[in-house]
Amino acid sequence: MNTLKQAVTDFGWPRIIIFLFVVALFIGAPFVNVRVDSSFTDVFNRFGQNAVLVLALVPMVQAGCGLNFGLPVGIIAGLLGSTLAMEFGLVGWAGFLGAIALALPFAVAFGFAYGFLLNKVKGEEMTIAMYVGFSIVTFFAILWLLLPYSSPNMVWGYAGRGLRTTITLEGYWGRILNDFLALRIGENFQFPTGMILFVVLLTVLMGFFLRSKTGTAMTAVGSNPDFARAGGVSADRMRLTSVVLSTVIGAVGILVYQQSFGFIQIYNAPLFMAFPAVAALLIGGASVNKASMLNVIVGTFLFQSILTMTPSVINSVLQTDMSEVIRILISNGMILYALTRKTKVTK
Amino acid sequence: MSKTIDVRKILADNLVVVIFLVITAFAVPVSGLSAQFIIQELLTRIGRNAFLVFSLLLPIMAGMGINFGMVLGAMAGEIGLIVAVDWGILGVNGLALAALVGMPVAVLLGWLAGEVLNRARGREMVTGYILGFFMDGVYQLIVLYMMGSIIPIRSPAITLSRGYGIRNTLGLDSVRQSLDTLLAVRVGPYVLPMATYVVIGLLCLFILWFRRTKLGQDMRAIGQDQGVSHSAGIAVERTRIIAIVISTVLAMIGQIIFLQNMGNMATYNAHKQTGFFAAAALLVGGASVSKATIPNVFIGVVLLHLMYIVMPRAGAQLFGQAQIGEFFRDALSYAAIAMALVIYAWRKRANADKARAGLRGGEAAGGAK
Amino acid sequence: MSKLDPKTARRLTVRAALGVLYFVVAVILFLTGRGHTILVDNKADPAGSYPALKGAVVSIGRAKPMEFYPGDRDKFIVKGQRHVLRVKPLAPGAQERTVEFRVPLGEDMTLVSISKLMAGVEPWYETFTAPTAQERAAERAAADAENPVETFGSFGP
Repeated sequence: MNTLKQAVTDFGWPRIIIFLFVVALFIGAPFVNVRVDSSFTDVFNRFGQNAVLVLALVPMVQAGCGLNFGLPVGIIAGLLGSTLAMEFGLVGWAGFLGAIALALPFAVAFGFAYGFLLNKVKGEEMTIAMYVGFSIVTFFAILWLLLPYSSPNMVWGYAGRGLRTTITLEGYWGRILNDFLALRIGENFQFPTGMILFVVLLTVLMGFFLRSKTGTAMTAVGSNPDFARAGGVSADRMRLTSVVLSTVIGAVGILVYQQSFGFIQIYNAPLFMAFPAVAALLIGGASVNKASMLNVIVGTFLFQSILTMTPSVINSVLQTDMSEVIRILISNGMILYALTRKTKVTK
Repeated sequence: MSKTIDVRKILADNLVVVIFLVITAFAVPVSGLSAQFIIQELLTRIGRNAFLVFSLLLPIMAGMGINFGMVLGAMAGEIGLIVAVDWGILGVNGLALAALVGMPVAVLLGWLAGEVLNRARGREMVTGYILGFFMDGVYQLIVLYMMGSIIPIRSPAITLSRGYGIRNTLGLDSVRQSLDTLLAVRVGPYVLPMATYVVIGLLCLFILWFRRTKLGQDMRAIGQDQGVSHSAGIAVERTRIIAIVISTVLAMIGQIIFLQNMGNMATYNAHKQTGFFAAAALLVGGASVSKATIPNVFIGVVLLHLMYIVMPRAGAQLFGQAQIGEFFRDALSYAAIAMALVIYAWRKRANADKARAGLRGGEAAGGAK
Repeated sequence: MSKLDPKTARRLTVRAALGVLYFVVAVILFLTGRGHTILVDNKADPAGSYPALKGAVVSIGRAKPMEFYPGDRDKFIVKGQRHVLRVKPLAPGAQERTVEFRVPLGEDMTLVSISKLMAGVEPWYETFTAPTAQERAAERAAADAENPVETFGSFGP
């Protein structure tokens, strides 16, 4: 009994409520004529679409840099990758992989600068990360207008320059992962095998990395900096590595997101993209200084289930569209809960 | 020799201000706007925004950083205005009543925010920011779903056609600019909203007075060192909560003043940018996360708004697109906040390192945090 | 009941006083700031028992006076409940009339007929309920139901 109580406290009552809420949504769905199979299709799609962005948060949490509210730094690198790949006329697999290849150097460079900055501001990372993210998104909004992109599929038709707010990936690499080996069962259920495999691949790689020598050193820096220093690990270098890694995966994450969503969204769209990812990670059981692969998978699945199911289920029960409010309360409530939990490290 | 070091220090202390000044000084002539237009706009905007920026001062004094949770106060002010408009209270009476209605809401929210921030020591700013997001959800729940269904609303004109929930845009005709025009003074070609200025002036006096009270002294002590204050017998948690409550109440009044000048209220969006603007203004005015003064507020409001006035036109003149100017001013405001935060964190760490070095040197440098 | 120590008692008194003050101020603001729309109209009785004024200048309180000609209707927005209504016919030699009247607190719109007032018909003011958007829509719907619009290709019983 005591261990159960302990387990509940460790897991946290908000997560239990959210978990029960999701279960209730799935049980209640058939009663209000929401098709469970098509709902599951949506959930799997959105799970794959968002999981990599959530995964991107893990290295920084492990290295003690906190929740990466500066995820847009990586997202911007990804946007550069995909827009450049389109500009060069790459399509299909060449397009998707080319976008990743083109995004990588930017992600590494941005990650270095961003990580260097965060190393200078230990203790205030999260607020600063947030504003670094906002700054880079708004700064790049100017560049999207000014950079000499010329592909007619991307620029405004009448002006002949300046990227559009949303750029369709139709004819390039839209849904290329989703449709790879996609499994169709019945009329309403489709499983995006390719995308899920890609997510699993990245997750497994990350899992291996965290168990490697560098990975364990990184975790040591995050959980016990003094001990790590005594062991001859450079905290700054480990933190820098984690930020670069986080930024790179963030870039890949947005590319996965785009191919599933079918559009590249630029200008102000990435401004708040870090928040749902952070909420998902925390719902999965992570804390501000500890996150695992399981947290990523479970959290993304639960959070995306809520986002998919509430509009249909809650709306048919209450007859009003309250899904937006529910989303705001759940995601931010979860972040708030994690931030206000007493962490064992602080004195 | 020492003089050059001084200049460098002053520059470093006011880096954000200097960068802002240089860019704006460049953009003003490019925009081609007349001095008269710019000055009139600034005079109006000082009245509109200064009060909101002032609401950030006390938490900074108490060492809690920038109170991004001030948007809770803004929401309370909006609820007050909805009630005043619904009851059909006109003019300054309407504003005063809105403030009175918003007061208990703001106190409650401020107390709640204070409790939350006390549980998130060392990361008050990011927590306050997320708290603002969270309470935005609660605000929507109340205003969009409960008003008109559970909370009685008299006027069908302000409710959505479905019968409950407040409309997306609330016309504030009944109180529009009533404070600004209460005592509008003409000086040459300019119109000064003197009544608004008087209110802001009273607030300045309040803050000056408050700093000298026992409570104000306690807040400053806590801002310096929580541990020492605690051993000196100051109720640290309580004082921090009071700082946030006052900040929230001031933000509530500030938002009412802001909205009466605008004349319309975007019911669900009016508060979303409040914290960002106030923080940007204060930091652009040369304040840091640990120290902010009354002149910082005024310099900041003038500088930030000068940029907001001229930038779209400057963008249009330079690049043929006003949008570039708009993005540029947003980027610059965000960057100003980021930079001020970085400088603050940088310095805090440098001080901590110095203190640690002192300890290692065997000196009796106590209180390394 | 145990006796309160003087410090607590004083604090309680101050708090109670502040609470009372809060409500008093709120009520005063409410009463003096409550807005009322006063519609003034100058229409003749359809039955012909009183005529419309040929022309008059009307003012309520300190609001800007307005001119009314036969058939006119306009509105004053006033604060508070007690008001002085002044009607000055434009006809030379006609007598100005000043009346004091009270608008009930809960009333949003009051319709004042100056033609009734000058002819001595009581009551010369009445509550006016503006049709809300929904009511107007309902009226329209009812009217539509009475005379359905014939559309091409619509067949029905």
